Amino acid sequence: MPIPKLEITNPQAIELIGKIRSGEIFTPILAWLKKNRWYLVAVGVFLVLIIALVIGKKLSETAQTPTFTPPDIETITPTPTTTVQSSYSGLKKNIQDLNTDLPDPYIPTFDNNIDLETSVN
Amino acid sequence: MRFLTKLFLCLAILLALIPVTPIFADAKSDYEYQYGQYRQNYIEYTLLKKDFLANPTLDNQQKAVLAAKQTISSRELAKANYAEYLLSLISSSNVTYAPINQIIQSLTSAKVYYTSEEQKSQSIVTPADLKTFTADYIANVIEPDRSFRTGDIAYKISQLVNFQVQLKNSLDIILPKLATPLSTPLQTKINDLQTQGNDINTMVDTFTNKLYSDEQIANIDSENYFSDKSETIKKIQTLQLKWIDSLIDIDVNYAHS
Repeated sequence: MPIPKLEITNPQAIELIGKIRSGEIFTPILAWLKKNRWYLVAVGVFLVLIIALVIGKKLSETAQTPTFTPPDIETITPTPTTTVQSSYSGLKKNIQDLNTDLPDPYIPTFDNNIDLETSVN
Repeated sequence: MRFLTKLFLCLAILLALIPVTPIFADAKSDYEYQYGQYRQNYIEYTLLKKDFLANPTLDNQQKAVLAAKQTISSRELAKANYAEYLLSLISSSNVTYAPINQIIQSLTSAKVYYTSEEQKSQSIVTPADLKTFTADYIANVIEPDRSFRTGDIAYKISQLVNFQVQLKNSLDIILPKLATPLSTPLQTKINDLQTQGNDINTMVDTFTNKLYSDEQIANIDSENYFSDKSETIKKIQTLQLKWIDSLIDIDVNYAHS
């Protein structure tokens, strides 16, 4: 089936096509781009950085977190010592606790001279 | 009225059902109680005696005699209980040591003497009775009172002897546990222990027998009677501690290996 030939008759469209063909329509855009090129470069760099950060974050989330294990330190294990307790320590304490002071128990004082004749001080 | 009768009956039944709590009083608490009674009575006696001497009426005389009688009674009971307390302390050491038997006997006699004097004091009625009683008492109480001083020392001796018995028994238990043949250093240690043990025994015997010497009896009422005896007991205690240190050394280093 033959493709029907498209014929443009609208004068505005013809004019617009003419401008596109001649490149006249892009002249203000190019002028604007030329004027703001440094801004565009800055925005581009910023976007690149943002994208890099997002990608890096995604990658870090997917990768396993490395666990830090400190190197083994050689520890000194004390030699187990068995303390032998003598069963006679109790007897020793009993001897130590003996009160050597005399008189023990204290001897009470009494008045042997109870009468009604001598005066009482 | 009927209600009160019932109430009284219920209370009587309730009291009958309450178990009688036994009172266990040891020799020490008996003595402390009696000594407290004596002190209380003695204060009352001194006050009434002052009143009588200041105002010698018949009434004041009777009051003073009665207070004196009560004081004497409580004094004799306190002394008898103190003798019993010392005897109980000596017997608590659980040793039979013949050299202190004489002291134990004198304490027992003293206790009997004080008890009989307490009974005798009940017959005091007049000032003349009181005077006669006290004069006889002062003449005869010296020996019983001295038994307290020697009794105190006998108590310490019984404790030292008890330790000696325990120390010897301890060595007798350890000896079969030692590996034979005994090494020379160990044999030397054991020989030293036996020698030192005998030395301590001799020291205790000498100390005890010396208590009955004329010199010591003459010095018994002096203030410094106890000082040299206390030093001797301290020396014996030090030797016993040294002895048991050696025994523990053998026990730990040889008997447990």
